[in-house]
Amino acid sequence: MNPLTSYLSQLRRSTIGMVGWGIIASFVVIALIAPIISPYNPYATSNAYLQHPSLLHLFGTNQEGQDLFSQNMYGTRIPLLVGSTAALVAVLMGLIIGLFSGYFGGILDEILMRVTDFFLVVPAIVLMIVISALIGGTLTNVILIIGGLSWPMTARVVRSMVLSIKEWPFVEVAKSSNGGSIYIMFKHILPNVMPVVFANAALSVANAIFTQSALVFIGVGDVTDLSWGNIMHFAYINGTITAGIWWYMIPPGIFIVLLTVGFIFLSTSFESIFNPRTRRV
Amino acid sequence: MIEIKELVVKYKSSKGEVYAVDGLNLEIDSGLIFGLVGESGSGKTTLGLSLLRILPPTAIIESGNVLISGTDVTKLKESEMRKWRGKKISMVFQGAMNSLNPLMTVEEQVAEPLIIHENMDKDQALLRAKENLENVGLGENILKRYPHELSGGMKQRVVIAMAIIEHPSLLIADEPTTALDVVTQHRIMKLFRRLKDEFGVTIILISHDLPIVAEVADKVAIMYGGKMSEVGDAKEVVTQSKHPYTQGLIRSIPDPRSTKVIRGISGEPVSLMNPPKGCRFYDRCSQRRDLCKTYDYKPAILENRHLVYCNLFEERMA
Amino acid sequence: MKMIEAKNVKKYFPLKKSILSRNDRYLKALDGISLEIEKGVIHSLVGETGSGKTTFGRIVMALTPPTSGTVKVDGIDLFSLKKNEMKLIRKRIQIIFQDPYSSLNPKLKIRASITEPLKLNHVKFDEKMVTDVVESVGLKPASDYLDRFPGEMSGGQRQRAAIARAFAISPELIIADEPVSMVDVSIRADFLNLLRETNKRENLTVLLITHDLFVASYISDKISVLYLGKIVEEGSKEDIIERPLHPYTQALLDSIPILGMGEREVKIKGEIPNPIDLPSGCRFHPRCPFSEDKCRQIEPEYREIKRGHFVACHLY
Repeated sequence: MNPLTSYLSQLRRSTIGMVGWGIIASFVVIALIAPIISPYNPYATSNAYLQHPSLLHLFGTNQEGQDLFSQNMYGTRIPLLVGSTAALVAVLMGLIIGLFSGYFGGILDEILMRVTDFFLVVPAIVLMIVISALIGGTLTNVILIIGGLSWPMTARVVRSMVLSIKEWPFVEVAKSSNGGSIYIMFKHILPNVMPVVFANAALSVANAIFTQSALVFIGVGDVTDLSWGNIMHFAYINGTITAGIWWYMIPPGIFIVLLTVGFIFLSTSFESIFNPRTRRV
Repeated sequence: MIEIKELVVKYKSSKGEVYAVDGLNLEIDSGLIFGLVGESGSGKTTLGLSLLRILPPTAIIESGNVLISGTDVTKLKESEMRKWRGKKISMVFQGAMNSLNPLMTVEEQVAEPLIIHENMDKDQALLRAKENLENVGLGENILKRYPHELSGGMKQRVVIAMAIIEHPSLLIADEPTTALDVVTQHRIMKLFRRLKDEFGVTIILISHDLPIVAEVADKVAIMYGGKMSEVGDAKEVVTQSKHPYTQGLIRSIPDPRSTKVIRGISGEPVSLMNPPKGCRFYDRCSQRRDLCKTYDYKPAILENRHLVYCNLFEERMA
Repeated sequence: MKMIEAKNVKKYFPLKKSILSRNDRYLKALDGISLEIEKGVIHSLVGETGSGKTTFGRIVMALTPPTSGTVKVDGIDLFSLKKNEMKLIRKRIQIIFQDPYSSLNPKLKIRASITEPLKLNHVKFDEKMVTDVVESVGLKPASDYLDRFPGEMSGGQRQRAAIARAFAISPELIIADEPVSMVDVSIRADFLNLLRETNKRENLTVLLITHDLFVASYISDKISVLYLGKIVEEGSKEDIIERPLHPYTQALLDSIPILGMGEREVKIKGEIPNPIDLPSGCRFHPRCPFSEDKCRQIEPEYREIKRGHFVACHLY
């Protein structure tokens, strides 16, 4: 069976996968229709400062009198965008590095794996703060920084899979039929590591969303871009936690956790469906 | 000793239900080596696991009875069944020799069931382990060794020693010679013969390899597609086989003494997902009749309790 | 004409050095194998696990280089070739592995696996050719199988597909490593007959690697018996099966049950030792029922006893 149809047919019986997709789909829809469902312009200030949640302002208002519900709806866009693109960068890098490292082995593997170890050990968030301070925290830069520092996990996993797959007889058969290295890597090995790559990609998105929110929260990056982390940043610097203004900080926090959990569930479902050993009969 | 009546075991899978054992009847006398021979998907392993009631969670015994020394094990409580395993019935699993604990010495490994099941003290258990290892042909020099220091044949002997340490009256061995070299295969089979002779244990040998089983077994049963094909004295079944499947199987085994061309049985093993209504072997049988397509055979009983599950014989008997 | 000419092929795998011991230790998988295979012949290499038979096959497939020695395929030295010369040679050799579950890529449809050698070697082909080769191995009608994934077929069907792939490019040499040991007995005969027929029809050379002397005896013209990295006996099928000389060959033959023959006596002791600590003298002496002092000290010479029948044993 085609892997996609097989995934879809298995998905129906995977509660965790359905919940994961449900959460993600809901946020994607919110991001798309934010202008429609937001009652106010999220940037528009008013005199209604720090209002409690009410029918007028579902999530209340902030210190500028801006509608927090509208801000949270618009704030869905950047985490999703940064999460998916940064994860794409990370997974592509990890995939290529893992493939070459595992397939060719030798000195190339040695070098690539030492580099990988370095990035695995160095606390990524500190490095990200330093780099964004140097090159500036525009949206594109944040994506590249998160992506460029999150690939080691994928690289490690892909490499270890390649090491085992390249010993399989079908790879030797292809070699003895004059299949070149690049051909074998992409035609024979890649399709067999893809299930794991998918599972890793979903985890990378979760990781990237979290990282992006954390960076914005501590003030790295463009604070004028609306995002959940950004809302929490202002909630924090305005001292709302100690002032008992709970409605400011809590909704974006829940959203971040919820979306992250959605991608983690997705990853679990990829893993259990594509991995024949854990697949339920 | 063992009486299996109309046993049905099914597996549930995402694609549907698979009847691995489908209405099977079999009697096994005590004190014999009984060979259960079949190809992949014949249901032979499922049958073996049913005797011990250790089927995987996706499988259930749907109907039928399995009487062992008069007790129906399909009706026993799990707690009672647990007392049976190891003591009354024991099993050597397929590939068990490769799942020995790499961090335990041979003697500890063999003594472990005694310490756990029978609360025996360690010294006594180790002594029993030593005796048992001698019984399977392993000397004192291997007691303190680890599995990786043993050859395949030695590991298989250790596994057999573990299986018989609580003196079961029935030993089931699933593919005990697969992955062993020919010389070793022969020796392991001789070991089973000796265990039967010296300890009177009834042994069921489950295997795909008819020649190896036929050599040591007293009786053999040939399975195909979840059902029996032919049951009888080992010598008789291999020299005067009556069922077209058994005959086909024998014709497909090379014999270096003759130059005749061996022939396989055409077609693929029957799928148990949607088994045919009549004879399971119908699609591949060279002697099939229209009747076989729909009519499920009853066994014909020939001399010497030689059973043949084939319409050709029922017809002849009538 | 010779299809394969191997001279004194050795393959040593270095073992990890421990900190304490200074001497390098090796696993001697092949310890000087010389083998010649004529064109159009089915030649079996028979041995137990650990005899080195699979390693030899991998060397002839150029999947791994030997530690020393030379291997010529149709007169061309395999391990001194330029890349494009290697490509030309590989086009003429195909391999069949034991395990049909892992020798087909689970993510590729059968059609893609079978046409792969053709595409990689730039051989023109049409649908009819693909259909013919698939049906020739018993997958009929081909249209039922070509668009399936390996996971949707039985073990026997997969092995048929693996054989169809090997046949597709009309190779001159097939190296088959235990091609039937994981196939059900009732369909095993078909594979052997198929190899035999193709060998006769197309003058195909086959190197059959197997542990099963009976399988070897059924289709081989010649048989070499391998023990611990050395050939101990070689001869025509009749020589080996009917007039075996080496005690090891005799024991192998005695070990295999023949239906309806009753019990057999196998004379040799123990099991094949580890190829790291090889016995002195004749490497078979610890298991040999006829061993003498001489056998413990001097390695027997590999000699031609009778035309075409070679043996390495002090008894002869």
